[in-house]
Amino acid sequence: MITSVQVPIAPGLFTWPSDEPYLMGGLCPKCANITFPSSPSCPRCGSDGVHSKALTRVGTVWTWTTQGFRPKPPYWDGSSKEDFEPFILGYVELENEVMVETQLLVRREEVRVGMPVVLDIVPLYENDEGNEVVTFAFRSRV
Amino acid sequence: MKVAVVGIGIHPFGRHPGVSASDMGVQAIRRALADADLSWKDIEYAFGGSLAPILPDHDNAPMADTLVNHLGLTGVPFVNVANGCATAGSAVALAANAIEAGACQIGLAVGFDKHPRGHFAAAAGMAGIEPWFGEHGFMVTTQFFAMKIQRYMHEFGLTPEVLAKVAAKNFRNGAKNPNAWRRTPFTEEEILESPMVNDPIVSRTGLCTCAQRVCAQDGSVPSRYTVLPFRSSVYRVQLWMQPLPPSKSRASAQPMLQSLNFRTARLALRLCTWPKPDCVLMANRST
Repeated sequence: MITSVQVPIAPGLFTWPSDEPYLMGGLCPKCANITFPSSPSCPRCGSDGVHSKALTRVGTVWTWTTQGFRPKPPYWDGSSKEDFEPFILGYVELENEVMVETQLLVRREEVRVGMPVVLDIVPLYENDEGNEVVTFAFRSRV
Repeated sequence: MKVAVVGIGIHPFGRHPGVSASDMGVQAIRRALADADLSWKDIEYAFGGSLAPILPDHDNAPMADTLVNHLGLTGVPFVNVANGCATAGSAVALAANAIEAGACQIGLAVGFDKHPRGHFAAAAGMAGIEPWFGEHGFMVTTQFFAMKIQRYMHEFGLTPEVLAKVAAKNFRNGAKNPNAWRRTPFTEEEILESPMVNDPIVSRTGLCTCAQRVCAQDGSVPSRYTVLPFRSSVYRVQLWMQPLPPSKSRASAQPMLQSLNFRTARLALRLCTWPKPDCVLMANRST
C-alpha cells in the first residue's frame, strides 16, 4: 500500500494534520481587526505585533461565483482545457471575524448568499514529489 | 490656474493583426498632436502606461516611455504609470498636476495595450498576495467582478436580465462607434444564452465593451478647451477597480459595493479607465 503524504499548500494557513482543522488568522492587539491570512502588520490600523488567532470553522456564503473555464497558470489541477471541471468559489463570512475567499464545495443548484458552510481540508493537486497538496475549502452545513 | 484639454487622439481599440500596442499608442499621440495643432517637440512632460510589460506572459511588450523612440528623442521627461485599471486616469491626473505645479505648460497622457485572449495571467505577487492564492485559480479578473456583481444583485434584487439589458445597450453603442472593439450588436436573449464565464457574467456580458470615445465624450463637447473636473474622480475610479484581497472585513466591503454604482461606472468610462490607445494633451490655459 502506498501512503501518499498530505502537504498543506502553504504554511500558516490552517492547522494540519488535525481532526478539527481551523484557519489561522491574525488578531490586531490594538484595533482587534481580524485578518486571513495573518500578516505581521494590521491592514486596518497599521499596527505591528498582530498575533495568531484560531478562526471559527463555520460561516455563511457572503457572495459566490462559478469558474467556468480553466484559469491560466499558476492554477494547475492536471486537467486539459477540455476536461476542466468548473468549480464554485466565493467569500465566506465568519461571523464577527472576517470574510475569506475560498472554494465552495457545494452544488450549483444549492449555492446562495447566506448559505451555511463549514471548513474542510481537501486535496487540490498532486505535486512533483507525488504528494497530495491539500488546501482549505468550505462545504455545505445543514 | 486653469488646466484644459487641448487635444485628443485615439486609435481604434482591438487586436489588430500586425499592429502592436506601441503602434496604436504612437498613432493616438500623432492624432492628438494634430488635433491640438502641436508637434511632439512642444510636449514638455509626458505620463503614460501600459499593463502588458508588467504581466508575466508578455515578455516583449515595451514600457510606455519607449514611445519616444518612435516620436523623437526630444529629451521630454516621460514617466511610466502603473496603477492597474486606473492607469490612464492617473496619467491624466498627473499631467494636470504637473501643469498646475508649473513643471510644464503642455503635458501629455497616453495609455495603450494589446493582450492575448482570455483573462490576465497576473501573478498573485503583483498584488502582494502569496502564490497559493493563484494556485487556487483565484487570480482571474472576471471572478472578482462576478462576485461583486453577485452580491450587488443580492442586495438590490437585480436579475441576470438586467445585466443583459445593460450589455445589449453597450453593444448597440459599440456598433455605432468606429473606435469600439466589439461592433456587433446582440439581443438580450443572445447575451443570456452565451456561455457562462463567472456567474452571473456570461461571455457576452462584455466586460471590455466600454465606450471607446472616452476622451471625446469630455473633449468634444466642451470644444476641447475645458477646465478639467478630473482629479477628484480619479480616486473613485481606482476604488471601483480595486481587486478583492483574499480576505476582508465587512467594513472594507461596504465602500467597495457603494462604489459599484452607475454614476461611478460612467465616470470610469469617461476617464479612460484602462490603458487604451488614447492620448490626451493638456495645457495651462490661465494665460
